[in-house]
Amino acid sequence: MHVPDGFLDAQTSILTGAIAVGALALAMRRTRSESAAELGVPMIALTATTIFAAQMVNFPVGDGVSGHLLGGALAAVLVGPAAAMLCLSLVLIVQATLFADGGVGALGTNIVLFAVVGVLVGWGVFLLAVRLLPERRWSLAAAAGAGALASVPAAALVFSALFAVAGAAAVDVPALFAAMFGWHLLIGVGEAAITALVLSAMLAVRPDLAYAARIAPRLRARPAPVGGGAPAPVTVPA
Amino acid sequence: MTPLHPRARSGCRFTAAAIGLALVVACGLSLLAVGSPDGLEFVARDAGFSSTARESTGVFAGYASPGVGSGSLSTALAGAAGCAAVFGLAMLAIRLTRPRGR
Repeated sequence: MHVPDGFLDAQTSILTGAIAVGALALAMRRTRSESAAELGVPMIALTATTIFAAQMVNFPVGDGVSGHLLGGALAAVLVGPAAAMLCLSLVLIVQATLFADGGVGALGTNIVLFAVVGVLVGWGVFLLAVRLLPERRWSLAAAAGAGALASVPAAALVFSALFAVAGAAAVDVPALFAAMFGWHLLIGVGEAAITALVLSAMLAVRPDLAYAARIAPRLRARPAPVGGGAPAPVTVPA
Repeated sequence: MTPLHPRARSGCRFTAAAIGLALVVACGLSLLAVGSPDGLEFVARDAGFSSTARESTGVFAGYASPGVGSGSLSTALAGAAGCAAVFGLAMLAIRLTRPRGR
């Protein structure tokens, strides 16, 4: 779902660009602490490279429609959400500049969709699923699959909202939301399968390298607060 | 030459295997990719706004390599080049997140 130049107006592209720069700056800062134990393996670079490769493989999801991995949930379970944002952004930068895949002007939009929405929704649903699922060998991979399944239609809905507000053409907005959601839910099934498969393989070979497995005991130890997510102190906005 | 610690050797093997696997996907499996429009392209055509897209340019536009036409070899080379570019850029970015060396 790489957004080309021209779909969204200039102001919106600048706005998403600013959000992307902010998110990336934050991600770079947090990556330092999250990836402290990289155990001699360049996991971030390997994850980014694998996602680039996987995104080349479009699979059919219907008559004349295809999809490919976005990779937000996969990157998050492999290297943590902050480093995942970095991975996805790097892939998108290379695709936009060398492969004409996604517009250079739309880079901010694509980073927001893939690296911010894809990673955060993928990771958030993964965390929730880890707490809901019984503690079994398969539950981390299943939770990653659930995160992946949710992340794709979520990104599609955010694009639809952006297009409804700042799109280059007037469209039937409810129909756009419905079509984007439906097709990307199907693509999300493929995303879930690939994500669960790759994490399973990783857990079988080197579980110590997978961020999700490293922090799994911590995730389970705490009784689930309603709503899940990061254990941040609750502050009421003034 | 000092022999590598078993842990480090396992890390090297893992890294090599992961790069190899990514290359198999980018240069081999990618040849089996279906050419039909992706979800967004399809919806854009259906809703009538696909013509608002501006064509981008790039050395490997359309995942084809310059000067090698558009066959399997062209896609495979583009895939390998992309993997190298992403890996290199990521190694650079990791250095940036650790300003004081390793």
